[in-house]
Amino acid sequence: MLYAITMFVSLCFAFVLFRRTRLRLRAVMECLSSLMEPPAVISELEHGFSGYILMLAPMIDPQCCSGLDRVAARVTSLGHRLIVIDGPRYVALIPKLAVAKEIPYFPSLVAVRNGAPCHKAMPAESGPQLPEYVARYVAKTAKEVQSA
Amino acid sequence: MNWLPEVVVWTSSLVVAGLYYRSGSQKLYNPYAFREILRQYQLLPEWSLNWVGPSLTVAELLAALWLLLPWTRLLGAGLGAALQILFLTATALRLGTHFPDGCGCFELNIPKEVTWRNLAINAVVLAALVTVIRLQ
Repeated sequence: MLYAITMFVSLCFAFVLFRRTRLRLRAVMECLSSLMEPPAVISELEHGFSGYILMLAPMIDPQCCSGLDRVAARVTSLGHRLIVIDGPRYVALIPKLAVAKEIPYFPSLVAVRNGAPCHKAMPAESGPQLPEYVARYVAKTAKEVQSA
Repeated sequence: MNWLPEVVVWTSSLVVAGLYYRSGSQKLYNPYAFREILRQYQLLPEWSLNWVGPSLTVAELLAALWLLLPWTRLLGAGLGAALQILFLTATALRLGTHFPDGCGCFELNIPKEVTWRNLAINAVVLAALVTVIRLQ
């Protein structure tokens, strides 16, 4: 009896976890494809300033920073350098990746730009809306950084 | 010395359940990173990655849970052993390969190379699970 109950509960739990993980994975992939395929963010940024592309790490990939590789490859293939502006959740993770990939990393910018409601405004599920938001935010930040 | 097998079973189960919980929960919160790692292993077709990644994650967590409960321990050890055989095969096939997003060996997103050490850890975990199955 105990065995049957445990099996039933754990298999239900497994099904819920599996479904949740699949949905999460799909959200990230949609987010990345919307960010990468039509290079809206990048083309808009190309006219905004020269030399550096700024990216807010949680915007690149809400679940993890693996997407950073792809963005970095895309950006550097256009002849730009990439600067990563981190968010609080990624403080521990991004520096390691940034060091490994030789990407300039400025955690101090987070404190300066902390007024931007990046985390609150962008839950992971809202992937398709990301490019426009990123473009606006990044272009604004870039101009501020340039004029500073 | 009648208590010795019991102690060995409990210790092995607790340690392996802890490892699976840690590994599975990392993958659960970071499914994209794990998918990328699976892709870099180049052992599975692209279309299957969105299914295999979450399945392995859930299997690890289930094995952890089942290993902790005495009445499902045998099943948990069996599931764990099957997972370890998969992991051992994958690491053996990719020994010496550098993975830019990590090799999935308890750390994600940190560049790593598959070494003999990873192979040895997988073998030790498999040995612990086989011991649990034999003594249970």
